[in-house]
Amino acid sequence: MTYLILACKVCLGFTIVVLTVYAIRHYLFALYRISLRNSQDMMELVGFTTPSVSVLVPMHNEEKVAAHVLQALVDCDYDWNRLEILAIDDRSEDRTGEIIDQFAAKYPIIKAIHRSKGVGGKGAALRIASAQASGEILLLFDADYVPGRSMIKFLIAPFCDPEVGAVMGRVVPDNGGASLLAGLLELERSAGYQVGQQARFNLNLTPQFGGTVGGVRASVLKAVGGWNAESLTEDTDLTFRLLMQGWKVAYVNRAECYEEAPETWEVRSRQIRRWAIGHTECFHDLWKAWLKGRFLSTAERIDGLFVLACYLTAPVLVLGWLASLVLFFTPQAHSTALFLVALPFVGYQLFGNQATFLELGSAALLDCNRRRIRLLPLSLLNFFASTGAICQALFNFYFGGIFRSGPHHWHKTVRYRDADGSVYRTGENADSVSKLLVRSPNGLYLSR
Amino acid sequence: MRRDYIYPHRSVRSFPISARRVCAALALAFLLSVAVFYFGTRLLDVHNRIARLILKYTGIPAVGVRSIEIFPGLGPVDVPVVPQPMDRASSLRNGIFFASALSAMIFAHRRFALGRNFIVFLIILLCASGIVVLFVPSFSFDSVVYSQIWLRGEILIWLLLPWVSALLFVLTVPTMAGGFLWGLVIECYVVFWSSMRLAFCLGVLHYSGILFLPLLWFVLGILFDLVIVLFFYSLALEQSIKRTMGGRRS
Repeated sequence: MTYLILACKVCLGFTIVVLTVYAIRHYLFALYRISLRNSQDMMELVGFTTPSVSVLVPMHNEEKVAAHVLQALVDCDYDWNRLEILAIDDRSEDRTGEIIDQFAAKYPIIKAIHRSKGVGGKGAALRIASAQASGEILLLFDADYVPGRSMIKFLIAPFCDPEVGAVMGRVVPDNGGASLLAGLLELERSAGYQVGQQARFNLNLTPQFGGTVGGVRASVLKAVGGWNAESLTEDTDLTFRLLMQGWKVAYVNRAECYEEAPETWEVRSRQIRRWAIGHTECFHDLWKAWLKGRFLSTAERIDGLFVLACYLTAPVLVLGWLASLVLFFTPQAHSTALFLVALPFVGYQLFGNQATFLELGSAALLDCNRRRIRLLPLSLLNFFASTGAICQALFNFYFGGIFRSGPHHWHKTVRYRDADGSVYRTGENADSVSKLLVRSPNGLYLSR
Repeated sequence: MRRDYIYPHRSVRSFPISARRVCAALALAFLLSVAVFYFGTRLLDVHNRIARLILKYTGIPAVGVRSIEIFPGLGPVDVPVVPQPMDRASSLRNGIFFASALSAMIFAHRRFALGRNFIVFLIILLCASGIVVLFVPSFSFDSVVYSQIWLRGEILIWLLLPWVSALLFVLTVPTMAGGFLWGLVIECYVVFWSSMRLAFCLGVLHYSGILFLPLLWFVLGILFDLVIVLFFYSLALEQSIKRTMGGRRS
């Protein structure tokens, strides 16, 4: 019994230390961001450089949203002589290919790429498209994103700096009012980008290239070995390989692009499980090389490890909970009240979003998001839900072996946008697509 | 209506934290912590009086009080002694309570997807205590031990809370006085609310023994304190946003 209590205390102590370190990191980011006078906006660089750009839009069964993203990209105010859009139909079984072909026939800057065989997954699709792209800069958008008119210029601006290898914009859900979960995810995304990414960028740490609403230099991509088609999170994989080779990743907070956040827990659960496995896979593949990376500062090394290992904190937290449960039923151990208090106080801070409540609140304050901030106490539900999903994913990763065998498949996120009616049909009516853009929140991507 | 100024785009917004504000936050945290530490025994005494009063008015019999030490140097404080069911009929009643609670949670699990993992954790807690009640009948908590566990946790929360308040409210809420006020309100509210929750848990102990105590400690203990803090934090931020930006979204 004594050994059991000791083991539980050690487990609890370890959990508290790990989570406290993570919590402190997030507190520092939040305080740093909220008090930031100069946010390194990069917007003063807009227009200084206009390289040739290839926009890659991988799609797999995206008939509901394909027309929206293609029309929005065509409407961007970037010089068409320096722009090409590569719409990739990756083995779609719906009308995606047809929609892409119609756009390609109508707009010369759109190039249709159809894949009917080969390895599945976004990484593989990007690999093939990148080989056909002619632009100096490759920009990426997921099919459910609706970029604003100036988005390409915003994202291109940081490439003025020759050390910048990749750039990342801000993702903003446009369906926060659709469900409780979507509202909570809006808060979460806001904390992740407005606070987390911006602080990490300003502190010269490791802002992440997220694989959408971002871009990479074509030459740099080639130099670091291209997209990793084997990875579930090819974006994280690329970020770390770029940083290890001495390239910088820039974050542009002003480059806001709207997306559809998952509206149901089933969809969200799949998404977060994929991220958890992908990140942890990257952690195992890269941590040794990362620690040896000769272009990295100590702070970057430490922060990078925090990023790579972030999903491992969920099982650590659950272990801590189980240990505290044992201690609860052990009267001899009740003097460990300090542990039992410290665990939830640091534990509850972290998940749901990989952000502390201070980060969520700070981001809502900066965004002036009055409506969503009311949901803050409910983010605990998201926290429990995410913790469970991550634990399940990591259990499968370590013990299931199912993710290590065979090729990866598209882990496609469900789309909620209404595809029926003339408004969204194949871009035949640009005016009606514009109406769609006007209806979206803030109207930031529609200056017309 | 004409605004005083055009506020910047959200991508470049910030609320710089002045040295004065940091000092104010530290002062609030330090003063409140010292006050809780210094008046700890008296505060616990008031807390327990409220709990006893609630028990009295809800008809739950307290057969007396017992003085206990919460931590070395903190106490003694009087905690209510609430009798537990010990007879054979209570086993049957506990069985019915257990089955009902489990059914309710399974129903909620099926209906409310976002809360599923939370409910699973509650089911684990309930089953764990069910197993203990069934297979280790000698194991028992009385209301005094439970109150001691509860108060140990709460007093630490009360000591920690001023620092959390300083961080969440004084540093980040745009008006410093407002942040100060929120910090004070929460400290008072958490003490009062804790006594109500303890009284509820002791009431449950009276009717169903220790069956639900781990679950209640988990849900109504520190987790609930955190929910209260978050609730006030969201209110404070909402007010701040309204005041700072004239109530308009960016």
